[in-house]
Amino acid sequence: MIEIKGVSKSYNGTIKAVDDLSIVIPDGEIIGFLGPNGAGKTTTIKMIAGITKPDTGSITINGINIAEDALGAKRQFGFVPDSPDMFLRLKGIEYLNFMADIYNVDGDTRKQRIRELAERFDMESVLTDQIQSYSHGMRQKMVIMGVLVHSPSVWILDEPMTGLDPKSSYLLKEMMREHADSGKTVFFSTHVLEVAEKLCDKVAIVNKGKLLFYGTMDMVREHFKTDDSLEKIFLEMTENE
Amino acid sequence: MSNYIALTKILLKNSLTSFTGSKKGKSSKIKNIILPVILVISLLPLAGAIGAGVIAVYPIFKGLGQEGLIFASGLMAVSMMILFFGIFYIMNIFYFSNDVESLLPLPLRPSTIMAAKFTVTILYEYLTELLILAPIIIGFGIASKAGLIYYLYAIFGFLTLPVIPLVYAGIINMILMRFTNISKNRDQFRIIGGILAMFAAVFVNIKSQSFFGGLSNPEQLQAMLTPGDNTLMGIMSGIFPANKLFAIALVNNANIKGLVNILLYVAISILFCALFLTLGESLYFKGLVGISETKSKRKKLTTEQFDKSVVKSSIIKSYTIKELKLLFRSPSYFINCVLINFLLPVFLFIPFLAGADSGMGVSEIRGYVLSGNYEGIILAIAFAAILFASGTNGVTSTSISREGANIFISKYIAVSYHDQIMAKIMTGIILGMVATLSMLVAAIFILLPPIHLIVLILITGLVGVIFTSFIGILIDLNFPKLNWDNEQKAVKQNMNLMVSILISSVVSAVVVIPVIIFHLNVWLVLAGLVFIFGFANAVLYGLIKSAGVSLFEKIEA
Repeated sequence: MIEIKGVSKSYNGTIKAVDDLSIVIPDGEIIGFLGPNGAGKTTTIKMIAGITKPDTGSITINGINIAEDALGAKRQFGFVPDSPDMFLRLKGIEYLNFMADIYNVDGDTRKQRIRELAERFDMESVLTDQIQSYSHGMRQKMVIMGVLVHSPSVWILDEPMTGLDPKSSYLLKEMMREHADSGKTVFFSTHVLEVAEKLCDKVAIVNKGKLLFYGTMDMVREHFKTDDSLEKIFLEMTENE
Repeated sequence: MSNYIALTKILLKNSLTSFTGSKKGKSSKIKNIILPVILVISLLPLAGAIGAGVIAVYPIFKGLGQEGLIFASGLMAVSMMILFFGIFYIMNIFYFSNDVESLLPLPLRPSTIMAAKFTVTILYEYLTELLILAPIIIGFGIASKAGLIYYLYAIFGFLTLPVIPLVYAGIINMILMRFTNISKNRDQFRIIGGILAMFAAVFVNIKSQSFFGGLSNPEQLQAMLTPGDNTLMGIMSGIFPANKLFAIALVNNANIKGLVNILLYVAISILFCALFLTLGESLYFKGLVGISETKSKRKKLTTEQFDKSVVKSSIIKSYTIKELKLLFRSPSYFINCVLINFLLPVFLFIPFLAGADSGMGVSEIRGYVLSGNYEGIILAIAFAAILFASGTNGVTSTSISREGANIFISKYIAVSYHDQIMAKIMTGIILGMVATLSMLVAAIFILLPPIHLIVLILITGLVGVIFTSFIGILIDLNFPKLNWDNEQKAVKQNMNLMVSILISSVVSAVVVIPVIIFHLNVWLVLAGLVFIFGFANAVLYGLIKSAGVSLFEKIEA
């Protein structure tokens, strides 16, 4: 579970990227985080992951306040950033082993997980190649595998579908569903509204750093008294802001 | 032409912001100013010494009618330096900079991109010139009581000088890149290219040392100097024959010969530029194609290979191994941080090898080492050399900067900042000890030191390497340079490395001078070094644990 309470963040003291945001991401659900470019999605995600510090407010992950016990909180989640261009000169297998080391995954468990993940994501034949030789989608898969290798209870993913081929995208969605159904947390940002509509239990829509709406798809339709697609509702909501 | 100007402006803006760092806020701005100021101030004595040296030797050379030699040798040294660094600069700026991929699809001629990039490279080289050539010009001007024309010619020549060596460097690179990129393994190519360039530099160094070594033979020197009338200027021009024109222009600034020569010099340099750009029209883009591709095997791991690759290690060990792998596999890091550990001993021992047949020979130094009377001094010198070597490899003083835009990863992974810092320090210690061992191996073969001395050097060396590693990481934590678009900028164009070299040089001098003056006993030197640097290390570790960790925490991704 992620709890965000009254979090604000401004850059250069003037532009408010996130403005008094409060939201609870419960266990057992997939929450989609939507908003136009520059709405504050990535800033929010970065604050949850401990990359940037909020100016005010608090963030707890599974009850651990990231400002007070950063390491404890970081052990709770796996984070997939928006760009998979990292550790490019490590081989795939070295990267996965490194991630398993820093999250203290024991030898047998990591072997089993790496094998499973490589097979499911169809990456078995590239594990010995340097990540820089991978395509964008393959890099994305590798980062996702690196997160799953330590089996975190909270998943935080920034635009995870970008660059994935249909099969991998389907697989990731399936895994997100399984993870949520097993009582754990999935929080991800996306611009693909169809994905959000079909996959998420709830959506949170932000614009200009403020939370505009948070609820299930049914609540969205009820709230706006329409049967329109999420895309239409989203466009209207963010344009009228 | 307008495309060229627009592109040059953009490239310059880009490289300037990456040079000064990216941090926001008032205190960071002050930090960003302090560092260059310290650096300039600390380099002033060197420039001053060069200028004063020129003023001092001027009357001697003038008396022999060979005053032009002062210029010729200065121009030769600067041209060589520009050629040497130029090979790396051009490789990085022309071929491996991240902007190349965004420039390729634009409707620009190869020569336009090349001209803009060439301009940026030349501007970098002016900095090298400012340090060495400017003091020579000013010193010579003062000593010869030169007039305005002299300085005017000097400015023209100063601005023109980098062109020819850089064209050489550019052509070497274009040919290398055109005919080697078929291998599709750019990293290995760059590493091999870097090693070749280093060896070329060592070769040039040995050659010039033996040339100056020849000058130390009085009879030979006498024979060379006697003809007078600046006959020696030609000899010093070497592979840069046009340099002679610049030197002649400066010496003859009072008559028409000076004007003709400086104009000729500028004209020849322009011609070189034109030749380079023309060649580039057909070679540059061909060398770029496939530049971002990397070799891959696409081979499945066997069960044994898999079991061997997937093994559990401690966090610090795993992180250290990751750091080492990145250092060995990224060409810029390999050349600047790894290879240098093996090359420093070579540079240090070249004087002995070059001077083997004249003056201070190997056998004489071996005598000093074996006599047992100078062990204190030898230990202090070895310690100073190790400090210098590990301060120069920049492993820790660029370790945060090397993370670049990916610094955010350090922030979200579940590894404490303390452990991340320790792993980076560990990497520095390992490579510092590699430098120590490679120097010791060279010394063992050349100077045959007694075993107990080797052991003492190893013990003090470790204390020294820990010291420079601590200092290095503290510098980089304070001034991380994270905004760069090619890896070279993280290690080479990084002032933190300069500061680290400076501090280790000063500390080296502070250690050696009193030991020589008071001719201290070896055990006293050992006790002193271990006690003083051991204590300093304890203090620095405390500082890293408190201030270092909080600095790391505050670095904004």
